[in-house]
Amino acid sequence: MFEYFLKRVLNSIPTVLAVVIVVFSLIHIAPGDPVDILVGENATPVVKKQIEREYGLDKPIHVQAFLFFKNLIVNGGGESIYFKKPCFKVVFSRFKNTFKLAMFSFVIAVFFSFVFAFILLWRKGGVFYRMIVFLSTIGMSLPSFWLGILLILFFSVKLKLLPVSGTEGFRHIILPSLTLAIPMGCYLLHIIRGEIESQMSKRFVLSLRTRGIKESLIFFRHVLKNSLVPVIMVLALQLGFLLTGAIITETIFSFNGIGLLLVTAINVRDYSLVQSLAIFIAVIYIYSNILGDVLIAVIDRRVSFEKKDI
Amino acid sequence: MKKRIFNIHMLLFIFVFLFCLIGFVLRPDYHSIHLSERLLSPCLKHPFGTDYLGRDLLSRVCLGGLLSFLISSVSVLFSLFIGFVFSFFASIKGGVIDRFLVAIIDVFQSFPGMLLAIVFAAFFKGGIGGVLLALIVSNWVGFARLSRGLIISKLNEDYFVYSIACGESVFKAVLKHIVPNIKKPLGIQIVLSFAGAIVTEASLSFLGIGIKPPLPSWGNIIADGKDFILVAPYISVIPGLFLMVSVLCVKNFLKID
Repeated sequence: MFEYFLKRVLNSIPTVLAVVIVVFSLIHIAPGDPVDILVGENATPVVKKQIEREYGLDKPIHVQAFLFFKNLIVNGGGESIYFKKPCFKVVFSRFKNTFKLAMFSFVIAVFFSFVFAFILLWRKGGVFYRMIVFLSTIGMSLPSFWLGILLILFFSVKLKLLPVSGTEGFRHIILPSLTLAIPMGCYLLHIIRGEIESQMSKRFVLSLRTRGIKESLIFFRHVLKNSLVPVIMVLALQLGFLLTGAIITETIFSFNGIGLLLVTAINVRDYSLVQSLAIFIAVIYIYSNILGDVLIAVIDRRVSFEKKDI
Repeated sequence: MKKRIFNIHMLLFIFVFLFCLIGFVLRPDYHSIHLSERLLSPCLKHPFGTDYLGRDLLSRVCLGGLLSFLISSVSVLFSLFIGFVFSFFASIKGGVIDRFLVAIIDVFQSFPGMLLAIVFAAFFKGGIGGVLLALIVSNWVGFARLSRGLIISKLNEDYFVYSIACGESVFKAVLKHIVPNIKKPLGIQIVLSFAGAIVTEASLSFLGIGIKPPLPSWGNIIADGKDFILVAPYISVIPGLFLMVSVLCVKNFLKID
């Protein structure tokens, strides 16, 4: 088990390095002079010279890549031009809020999707059932920025219940987390429902029933456990959705997390901050996927601990 | 029953598309500014109302839809082409080339797709070209991975080995015998990426790194309307509705439920 975990983490190191290289090469692929991209065309020659030295932009490309790495580790991603602080310092100070938002919407989505899945199972085939399935299909396709605006219209403008924007208190987190949770919850509901229904029609359920085991026991002890595996797999993947969904959601609600930071960085052309953020989000995404895989391996003994081919 | 659902989504999407096309042909004036007609609610002259510069929203929504469909479909075609060609050579040659491709796929999959699109669009400063590039970069991996798996799974099939033994070139044999066999899963991937591309394009434009004004896009119309949500909520609501309906329809093209 632990070996498997270690192996996955070790295997991820080349991927992380490659991610850094992809992000590093962005300023070279993009049109325009790298110095201009980093500090803006209107910067003074002194600043330009300094950046050129710091990133080694006058040196061959492999030296630059090395310097980029060094910058990332030693200097915290280099100085952000807009915030005048090391990039990662800014990122970490904002990440707390995004993490809160992500966890909050995660809990809402998981809780409600399970509740609705149970209700659907209980009321299978009725008008109510069809309505929920229909609504969840719509919910899955709701673009988050539009959903956010609808929520603002309803809760803030019409009912005047919740604030439109800000980060401070509990009341500010409700609307953004709903915006993230609704599409995710609908998707989860879809997965959970399909999984439970397919498990319910398996042979072992029939055999348990013929042995006279109580329906609730069959459900909770056998079916639920089996259907949990794909659900967790999806949950781990959804973490990436939460992080990227946060980019747009935070922009709508001016919620002070890394998503808003990314958009701010793009708007003020602070490209070293954009690079640091891209690396940061990608690394979190990679390790949350690994965590999901390990979790699945713990729950489901059928998963072999060998490295899988893609 | 199965067939009917399939048709409804298809028809609805075609309806949206035709609506945009006809709407734009009838009202091609999407950019002329009439400050005396700012923020008009939907009325006879402007069925969708006007925005904060007095531009007619009907023609903006229609053109935005057309642009969105155009960009999405072009990006999907390019991603399909790149992904397929890449995986074609990788799976035929095998060895180092194949491992190289797998490594690249791994790296690109370590980014959430939307992040990749946003970062690329930001570095290439948006615009139609930037959006296209961002969409292709975030989409091609799915195609590469899928077609690599599919082609490899078919390489040992009897019909393929037989056609090679008969002296057909590998290139021809793949095109003639394998491609028809993997059309279906690729088709599903095409439809799903198309839906994803529509949303991603709208998101990029919403963030201001997609289609640049004065050209309209559903994303930037919604973003414009966000500032006037108290006085003119319809500005954001209408394009959002279009966006949702088209994504919903495209996603359900192939779904048999």
